[in-house]
Amino acid sequence: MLGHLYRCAVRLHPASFRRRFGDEMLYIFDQQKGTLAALGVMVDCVVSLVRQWTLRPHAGIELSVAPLPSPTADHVPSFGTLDPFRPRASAIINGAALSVILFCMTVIGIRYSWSHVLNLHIREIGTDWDEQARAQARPSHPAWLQLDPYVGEYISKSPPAKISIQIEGDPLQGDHLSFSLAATEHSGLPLKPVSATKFVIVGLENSYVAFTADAQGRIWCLSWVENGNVITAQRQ
Amino acid sequence: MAERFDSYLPLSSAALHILLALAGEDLHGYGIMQEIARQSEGIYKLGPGTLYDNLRKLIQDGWVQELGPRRGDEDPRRRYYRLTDAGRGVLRAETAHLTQVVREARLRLRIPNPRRV
Repeated sequence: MLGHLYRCAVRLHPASFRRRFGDEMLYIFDQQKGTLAALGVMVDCVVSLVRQWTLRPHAGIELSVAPLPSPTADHVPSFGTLDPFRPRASAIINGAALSVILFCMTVIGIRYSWSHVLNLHIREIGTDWDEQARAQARPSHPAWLQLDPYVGEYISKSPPAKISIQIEGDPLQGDHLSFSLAATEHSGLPLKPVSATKFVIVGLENSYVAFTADAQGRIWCLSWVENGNVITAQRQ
Repeated sequence: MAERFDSYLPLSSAALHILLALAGEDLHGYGIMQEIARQSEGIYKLGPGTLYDNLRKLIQDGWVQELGPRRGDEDPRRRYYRLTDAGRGVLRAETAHLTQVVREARLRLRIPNPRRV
């Protein structure tokens, strides 16, 4: 078992080192008497493996003299190609470390950029709304509606904020109350945000929806204003 | 002569022991390891990875010459190495350097010089 591992470790050395000293290293391992001695040689081989790939970056590259491009008869400049180049292990490690540092700096930069991400948990209007309830709804008699959770997003310039909003499920269908976000494929009338809690309903003049949040930021009430009529719906 | 090699001093422990092991006779890698263990009375033990990493550098510097396998040797995988004149010179320079260090240490620590028999 240990001999097999040792042979694997020798094979993993750079090709030039392995070709030159690999057989002798195997011979030395075969001469070890006892598991402890073999284990010591094994540890030394692993250390050597790391040393050859990290501290001896040119060890695996057999330098050869590139042939000069032969002159052509018509004196047109000719170009030679370089030998296959393998980057040094230390260069790869340095590049990886720099990439990680750059990635972290980018993430931190985004985190502290002007655009802040806020998540509003808004409740979707359910299906128990009907024309009768809509006609009877007044500020003094709020209509009680079933509100289901959803998350969405939009960007506002003042204050600089990005608010996430996404309507899920099936909004009210076949009813004027059916609405969705602006510039989306959702059915119904689109909403256009004008602030963090107020949305204009595109397609209906003088209409908007305003959400009211509690101290924890959860929407617990919405007001739909259409031509001066205010309809307030509270989450049950 | 010794001044020629001053820029290479001090040698690493591994390089010094390898040159010292080869100063007596030509040896293969395992023989170098055994000779180093004998000279240091078992205190300094060199693994094969460390040995060949240093041997390659010593060969590149021209201090050690690779002779290859010997005919009729018990194992054809063994390759022999020889100390070159340059290697012998750098070993002399290092020995002179170490002698000076030992002399200074004896003086500072007030250790009497060993009697010559």
